[in-house]
Amino acid sequence: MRVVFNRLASELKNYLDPGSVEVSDDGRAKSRFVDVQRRLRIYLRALWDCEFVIKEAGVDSVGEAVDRPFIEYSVINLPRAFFDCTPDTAGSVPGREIYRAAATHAAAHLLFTKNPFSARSLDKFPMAIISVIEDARVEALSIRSFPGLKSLWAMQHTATPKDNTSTGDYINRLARALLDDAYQDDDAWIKEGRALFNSIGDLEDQQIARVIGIKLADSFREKKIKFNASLDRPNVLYRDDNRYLWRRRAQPLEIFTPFFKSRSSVGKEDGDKESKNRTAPIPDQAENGKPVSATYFYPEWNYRSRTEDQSWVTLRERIPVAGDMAIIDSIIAENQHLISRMKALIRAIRDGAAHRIRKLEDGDEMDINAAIRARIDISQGMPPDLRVMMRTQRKTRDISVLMLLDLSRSMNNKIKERNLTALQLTRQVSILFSEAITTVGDPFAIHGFYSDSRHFVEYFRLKDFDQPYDEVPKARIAGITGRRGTRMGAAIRHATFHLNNQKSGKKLLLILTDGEPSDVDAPNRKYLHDDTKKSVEDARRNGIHSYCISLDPDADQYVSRIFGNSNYMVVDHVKCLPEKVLLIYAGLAR
Amino acid sequence: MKDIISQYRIENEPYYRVVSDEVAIYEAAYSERMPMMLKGPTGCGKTRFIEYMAWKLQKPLITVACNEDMTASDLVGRFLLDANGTRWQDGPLALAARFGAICYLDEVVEARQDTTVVIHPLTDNRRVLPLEKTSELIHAHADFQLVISYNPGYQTIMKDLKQSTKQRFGALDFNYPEHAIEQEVVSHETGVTQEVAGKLVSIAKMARNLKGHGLDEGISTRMLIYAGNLIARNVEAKKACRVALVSPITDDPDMRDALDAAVTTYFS
Repeated sequence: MRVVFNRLASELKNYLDPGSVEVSDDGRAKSRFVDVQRRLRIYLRALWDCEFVIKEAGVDSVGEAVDRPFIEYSVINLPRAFFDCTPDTAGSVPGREIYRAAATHAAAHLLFTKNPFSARSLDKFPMAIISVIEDARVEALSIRSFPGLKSLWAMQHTATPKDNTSTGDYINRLARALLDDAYQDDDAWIKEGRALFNSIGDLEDQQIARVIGIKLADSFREKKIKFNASLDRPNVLYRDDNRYLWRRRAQPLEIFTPFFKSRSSVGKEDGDKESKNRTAPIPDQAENGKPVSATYFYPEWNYRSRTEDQSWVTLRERIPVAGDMAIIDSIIAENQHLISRMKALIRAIRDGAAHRIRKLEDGDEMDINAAIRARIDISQGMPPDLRVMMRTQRKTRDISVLMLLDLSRSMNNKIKERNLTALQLTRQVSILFSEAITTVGDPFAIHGFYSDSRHFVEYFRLKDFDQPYDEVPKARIAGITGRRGTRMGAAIRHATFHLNNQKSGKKLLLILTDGEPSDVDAPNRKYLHDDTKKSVEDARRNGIHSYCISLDPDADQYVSRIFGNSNYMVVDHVKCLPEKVLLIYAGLAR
Repeated sequence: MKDIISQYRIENEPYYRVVSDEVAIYEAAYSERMPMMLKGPTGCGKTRFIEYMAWKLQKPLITVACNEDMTASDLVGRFLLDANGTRWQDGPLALAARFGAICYLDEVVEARQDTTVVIHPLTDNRRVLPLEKTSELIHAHADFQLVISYNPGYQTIMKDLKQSTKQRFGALDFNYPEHAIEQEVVSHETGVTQEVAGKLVSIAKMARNLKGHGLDEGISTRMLIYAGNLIARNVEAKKACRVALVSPITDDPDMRDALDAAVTTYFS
């Protein structure tokens, strides 16, 4: 069975991850962004332990395909493809290495270029030189921690002393000279630049780049070569266009704060008071005209008083709206391949035949082979293995699963690097999951929720445990929409209530969300975090295992606190999410 | 009978680099014979620590690697048949309790829950081990102490220690040591230069950043020592890292690629 499983897993991997190199028409191999982006993200995370947003740059304002990396709003934009190139000296540089160099260079800017330079009273030429110095400065800072980056960048610089016609040639030579100690260049101006750069005492001081840049721009005048801003651009492919360095008019400072830091500043104490003294909002009858099926009151945990506020949250079950079945059909049609793989995987974990547990000291029946072996040992005067009994056990799977979908407004946001909203992805996952799970016949339910203050937590039973998985639940899953907040604690308590009515031995609550708990009347994050944590603990006390699948790459700060160390997964590759969900399920259900 | 236990004595000082106050705390706990739990990721030095402490305190150390097929009688002991009839054979736990050793149950959560409860009467003020089959009640030797190791992250999700077991132990948290200390450890254990050791530790740090982002567990100190050993045997550094650090921990091609690239930021 294991063999089958491994083969399927590798097939699935091949299906999901085709080779990253493609050969172009003119015979040069080409690397595409879509194929390398995950590697780049993992790589940057490994280097600096923070989440960088990397995006494919489409076309620019004139409709031309972007061929240079650039940084905009702290997002690293990389071209759609890089061709392998052949510099004269160092042999060929594969496209993916160019990507890697570009990503690390841009990340270095985000980390080390703390404030944009002011372009006031500067001509285009000094700006170009300052940019080169700043490039060299952030690279030198990165090389200080990661020496190997030097060769990665250096192998892409191709300027030589023979290039001496245009200003651009000199800029390229300066860039190379500042990075690569081994590069020989006897030009006086280049030497001056090198000497100035090497004499910098404190590389962290960003203004030094401006000082040196202006000085070098002045001394370049002796060469009497004209500068043409549109032609004399650096020729190194991996460096971004440095628009990030310069403060633009009428635009706020764009300062990068690594995401892991911004997330850790959780919980402002002042918000707590507000969550108690708020006024009850008016129910939005026009929007939620659907009949209310039941009303429930749940307590909520107040971390400051360390007590539960009884009957604090009002939760209503509503009848979900049916959506367009065509959506479901198209999901199923598009993922036919994936579904059949998932079915095969899940069949592999389905009930086996009767299972004999051998080598028992006290079992139900005698294991004849073991008894004979023991007898032989005794006759030979050796101590026998006394575990001669065995027991037959029929492995039955006895598990109920409730998948709880976060239907808050943030689900409408697009997922990084994918042309898909979190809600669409959630819909796909629920459908694929249901398709696969019906083949084993475990009882499962799919519920969803959103909230609008503590008075209005809306809960939808899209599919119930005892409901057959047919047109009705499918249409309801098609009809899910994202709105309002995420009061997760109340929803988990209600899901616990439903799971408690199940008779299975194992109960699993899978929570699919794109972010952390939040709601309009609870600006203090810690409040809802702690309440959710409490609700998960209560569920555990009821024998329910909770597992969170988060689509938020910065989630590990809080998800691990809420759900416990090994009970969550931050999905780093949305493409194989359906399969991952299933593997978690299989791991738990075994 | 004394010679049975003497084989568990540790003659030579095992190398252990003290990280903070763990030795003093452990000594205090031992003088109270308090059961201890060593928590931490795999390969960060839990087992080495207990070997070192056993040597320092001059007590025999009986280590049991727990697995899911282990039964209570594997710990306590069983009757064996021999040519002349039956004979009682003490298990490692009974042996340790009888003769005053430190009994170290490695990865105790791997054992089934019904197995772990046999340690309960030994770990409170009773300090006894009832042997059902021989109707004997072993009163633990004055030197006896029970130590378990426990890796909170890596167990299967449904497996965990029961609260009633957990609450019988004092816990020492272990983690990968700081850069300078880990560098010293790697260099000492393998004989590579401080510089190479420092690079290995930096690579490990990068991999540890990826924990939870595609890696289940970061690169451990033990793996670094393997890599260092290979380098000391004149294996090319990049290859040694690939064999000892990258390939063992992941099968994901993207992850491998990123880790390989991380290696080349230090070794080219």
